[in-house]
Amino acid sequence: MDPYEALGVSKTATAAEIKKAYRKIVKESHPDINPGDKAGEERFKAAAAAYDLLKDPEKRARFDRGEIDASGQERPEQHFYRQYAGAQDNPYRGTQGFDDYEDLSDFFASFTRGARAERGGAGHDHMHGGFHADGADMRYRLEVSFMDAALGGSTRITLPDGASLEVQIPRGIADGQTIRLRGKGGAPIGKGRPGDALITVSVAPHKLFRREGDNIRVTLPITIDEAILGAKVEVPTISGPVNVTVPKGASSGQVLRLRGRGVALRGKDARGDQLVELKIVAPPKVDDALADFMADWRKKNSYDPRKGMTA
Amino acid sequence: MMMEYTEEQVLAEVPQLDRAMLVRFVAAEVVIPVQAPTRATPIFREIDVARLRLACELGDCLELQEDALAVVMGLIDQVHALRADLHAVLSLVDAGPDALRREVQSILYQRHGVAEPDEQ
Repeated sequence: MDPYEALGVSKTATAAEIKKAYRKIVKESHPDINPGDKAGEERFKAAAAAYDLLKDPEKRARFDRGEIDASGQERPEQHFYRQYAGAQDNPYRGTQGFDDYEDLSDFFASFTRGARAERGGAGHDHMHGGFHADGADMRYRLEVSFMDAALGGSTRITLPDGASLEVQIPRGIADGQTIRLRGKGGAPIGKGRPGDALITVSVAPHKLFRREGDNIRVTLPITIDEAILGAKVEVPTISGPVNVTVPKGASSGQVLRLRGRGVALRGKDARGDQLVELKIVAPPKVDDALADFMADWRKKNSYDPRKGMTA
Repeated sequence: MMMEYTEEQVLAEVPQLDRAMLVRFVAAEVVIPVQAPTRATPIFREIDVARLRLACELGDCLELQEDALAVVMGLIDQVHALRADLHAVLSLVDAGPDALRREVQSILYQRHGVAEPDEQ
């Protein structure tokens, strides 16, 4: 596409005119400020590529002389912010309240009036004179270990002034959830209350365990002989190792359930389960004895696990 | 696997951004780096890189200072959060009883001052 056309300027446009044209398209069409406008996104992409070329006097001159073409200037595949913006775990989603949705029934009360219900808000105090307002909330992001998120724990965050603050991590907290530390935010005006510290948590991955709500999933490698003959095998859980019985004739992908070995979510006593997914691992070396036995066994006992597997 | 970026890597990833700008953006809470007790310095994620790119584009084009930028970004976040919430509610309504679907459709059309489509 012709970069001048993409920006809607003439070939003789000045640098200032080009910038002005680009700005106008950003304002009208940037996909992050106009979500859901597909045509706008295309206009913006074309304009951005054109601007990259034309803002550089040297490149512009080379393009004008026909030494380079506009296609060479396309931006690498860009991840727009809106690809993350609507996600449930977007830490920037904010905690804007719905304090003004007073007409909704109590059914939605915890959603619409949850977060700041007991805070005072702002206002004039006629009895005592002067203006009062609660302090602003301060936002932080904190990565916590998998175990601390599962079982609870404590850690520290560093405040902007360099001081540090102890944070209790409630057990069962999940990626993207926010811990509110009352009164640890910005200073109030007058007789308002101090703001809160809002700490959005991201849970670090664990080398063995994966969280699925209040369940823990783990992959357990077993030997061929354990799979064939059955075995008692030790498996790690978040609260220490446990023995599981691998049933005789187990297959890869089979899942054993250890009840009550998962995570207890906040406010619940019951723990989820640990799901143990079996994975048969071949011996590091296949010796002649094993190969001969298998070849022999196959002659009389062939079976087809892929039966009915047609696309 | 979640990508992680150090300050250096963020600066390399977003050419329009320099260190002084990044410091100002962090101070104004345009981006909030992730603190991790296991690491010496805060880290950034892909979402932050995308957000910083947007902040640079808006800052440059609209000549916004970081405080104004923080306000604009906050409004953008609200819009996206509301759109996601609305989408969640509408998809439930869409799967619900016909009468409710019609009622919600009618309210939305009225609010936008658009004539309702004819009954099919």
